[in-house]
Amino acid sequence: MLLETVDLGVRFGGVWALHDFDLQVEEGEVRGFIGPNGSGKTTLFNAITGRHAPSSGQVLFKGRDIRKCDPGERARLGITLKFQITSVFAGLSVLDNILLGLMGPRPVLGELRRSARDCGEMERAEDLLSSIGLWEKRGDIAGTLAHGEKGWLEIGMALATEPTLLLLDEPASGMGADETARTVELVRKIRVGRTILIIEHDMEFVRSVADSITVLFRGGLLTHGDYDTIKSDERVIDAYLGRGRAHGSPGS
Amino acid sequence: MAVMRKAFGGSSGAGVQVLSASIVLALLSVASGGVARLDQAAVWLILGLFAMSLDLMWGYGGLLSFGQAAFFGLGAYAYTWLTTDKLGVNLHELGTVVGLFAGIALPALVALLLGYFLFYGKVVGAFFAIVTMAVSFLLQSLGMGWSRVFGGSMGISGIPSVSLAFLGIPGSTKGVVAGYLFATVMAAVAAVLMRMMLNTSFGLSVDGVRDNEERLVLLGFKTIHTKLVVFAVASGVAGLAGALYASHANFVSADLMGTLLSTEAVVWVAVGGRGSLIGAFVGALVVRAMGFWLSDIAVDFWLILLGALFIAMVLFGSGGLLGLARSVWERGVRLAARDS
Amino acid sequence: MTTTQLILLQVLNTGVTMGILMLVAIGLGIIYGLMDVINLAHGEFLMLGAYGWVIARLAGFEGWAGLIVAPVVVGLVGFAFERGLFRFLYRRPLDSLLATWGVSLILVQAARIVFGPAPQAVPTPLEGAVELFGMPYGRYRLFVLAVSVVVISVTLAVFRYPTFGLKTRAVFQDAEMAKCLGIRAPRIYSTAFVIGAALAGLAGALVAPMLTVAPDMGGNFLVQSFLVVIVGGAGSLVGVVGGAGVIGGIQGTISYFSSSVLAQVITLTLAIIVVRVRPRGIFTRK
Repeated sequence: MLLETVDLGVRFGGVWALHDFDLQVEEGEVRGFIGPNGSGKTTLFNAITGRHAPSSGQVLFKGRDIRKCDPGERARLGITLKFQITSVFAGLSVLDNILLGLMGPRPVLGELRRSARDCGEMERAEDLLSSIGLWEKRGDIAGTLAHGEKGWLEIGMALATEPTLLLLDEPASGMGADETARTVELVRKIRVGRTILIIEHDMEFVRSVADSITVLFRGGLLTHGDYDTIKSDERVIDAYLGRGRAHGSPGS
Repeated sequence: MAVMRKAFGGSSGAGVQVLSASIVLALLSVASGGVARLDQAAVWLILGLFAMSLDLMWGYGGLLSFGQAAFFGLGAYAYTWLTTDKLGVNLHELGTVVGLFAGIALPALVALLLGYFLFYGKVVGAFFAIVTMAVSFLLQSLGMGWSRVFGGSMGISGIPSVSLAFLGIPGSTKGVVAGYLFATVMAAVAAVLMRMMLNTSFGLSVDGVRDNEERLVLLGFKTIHTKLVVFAVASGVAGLAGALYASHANFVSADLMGTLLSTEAVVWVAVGGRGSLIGAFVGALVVRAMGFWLSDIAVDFWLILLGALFIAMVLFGSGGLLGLARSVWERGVRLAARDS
Repeated sequence: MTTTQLILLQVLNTGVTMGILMLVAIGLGIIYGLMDVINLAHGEFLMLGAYGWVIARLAGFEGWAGLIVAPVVVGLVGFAFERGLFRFLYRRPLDSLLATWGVSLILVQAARIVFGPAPQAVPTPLEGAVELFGMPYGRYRLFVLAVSVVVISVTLAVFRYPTFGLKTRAVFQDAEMAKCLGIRAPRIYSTAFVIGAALAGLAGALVAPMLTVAPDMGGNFLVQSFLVVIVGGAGSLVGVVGGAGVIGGIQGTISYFSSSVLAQVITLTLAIIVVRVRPRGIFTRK
């Protein structure tokens, strides 16, 4: 078991954005997360990456309780995230963005001895840039990239840290059909040897990349299964169409 | 070695730029006021070095300090304490060299200590500015009140200039020309060293902290360490400038740690354009020279003009002199291209 | 004097310090909390208030007029600055620092030109002392204490008053949301800014007879108010008032036994430690 949450809950004021959430993710899995807006998907991701402290329950990574670890420590353990709203180093070049991903967890003082462009990482940077399709644009300032390209750059940066667990929050949001197709291809390419969690509204996207799907509703787990099971599950349809009051409570 | 050569090769430009600015300033000074004017001009070079230290903080690290003079002043006092009888540790001529190093070390250590509390307390942005401003203000008050150590309102005078006589090497940096040369060399060397640091992959992580700290944290960086190193190095450079000031002016007072100098440095960097060491350096020279010239005409209005500069820089963006020069240049090039 | 009397004297003096500091810090805290503007010219509002006595005397008013003139004049100055400059700086904390520092430099230098650089003494409008628990205590100090208590209570009440207070707190919480609810944030900002400025002006007028009046007197009060906001947290009026209580209390007590500069340095050290332990202030819930 790579990742496990036990009775996980996150409360904002008096509202439980996530409650009694049990999740098990095996190594090598690609897992899709769906659910209506406000069902707690992003909150779950934030609790896994450490941006929100859980109000109750546990987050276990490789069997170890990481509740007390801040986001930086979790990144160094191998958990990294692509934000829902794309977040790159907008003022730096595409290459520098990738180099920052590559040099991540080294101690600060060691960095003072090496030149940024001359640290033996150029080959890996080249590989990464080619795989996200931005080799041609390596000299461009990241802030000037198109929306889709920024998203790929952020995924490339996350990959550079060699994560064990990669979380993608709506990797295809705002993308056109063409860009979405390329993103699907990218995710399929990078899944080898990695565990990936994906939040995505685009069901077709989820179907194309995910091994199985977890459905969240009102901060709880509604159901879990493969695409066909989920698609034909009445409760899921109800949840999306807003008829789900009878089935709404978690664990039902 | 290859790495070192490469880093140095890419960094010597900063030294050349500082040398060029210093030569231009020397020519203008001598032309307008004779060789004696170099005495004043050397102070501006030292303040230019001080401005570069703030640019390292603000322009590169994204940490706006409103109290940078606290470290300038501490550097000046560290030099003073080792070369006068004030604290009973007068090392005389040896002290003038040790004092330069102490002038770097003391402010850097104070910055590390202060930074530990502030950065782990997640103090950023405007809050960082006001805390540093409070530090600068209170050090100045402390200096005014505690005359046994800081000289109080009278300051401390009779501070010797840097000299290598204890090694049997004759001469000192006391003379007008020698003082100017010494300030030039120190500013150029410091600029090259800062540039070298910024060209390393550590420098890249400094860019990352300024640009998007949260992203950097999620890539596994310990950004607090990055900020601590930037704060300590910038404070050390500010302290070096302070020690040079003490050596050159042979006089220190609590004002050197105070808010007016702290904030004036912010103007220099903003006028010169932040994020370029030479811009900050030239910004200090230009604003100080302007103040010198204006104070002949109307001493009362200098501070009002300085205040107006603060407001203007907010209203007219952050490119500074360098940005302005660049856009004028580009426009000229475009016009020339169209004409031909 | 007996020990009890000494302690009582000390408590009263500390109360005066705390009262003044609260009056100054409330304005700085409200403006920061509401609009993300750290007003570095806030100390100069106090300075202008202190010169209220001088202005009143020049205008031919004697006696108490200065105390009325000060908050009115400073409130008007605050209103002019709010409309002319500060409103362009809301939610731009770093720019606001630079611009308001510019305003501060200009106001200090303008005061130097108009009133002269030398510190001036302002005569106390209330001479003499009253017998209090068998010891004499300055009438004017008691008056300052009373005015501070009344004005701070009224201010707190105004900010709790159903319409204005609720709107202000709504804007405090979430400016966007408040806008959607039809609360006209600009008017709230303007009102809060003028109240803050007028309170600083009043504080200046109150301290003037106990100190000397000088163009650069604002800096010290500004830095003290920073410390208040850092220690108390800027999220609420309670934080500011509580912070002013802590800072004023410590300063008053330490400066009795030692110098006031040392008191300030100790307070700063405390504030920096508080930042590490409770980044959002002692009085703000996490």
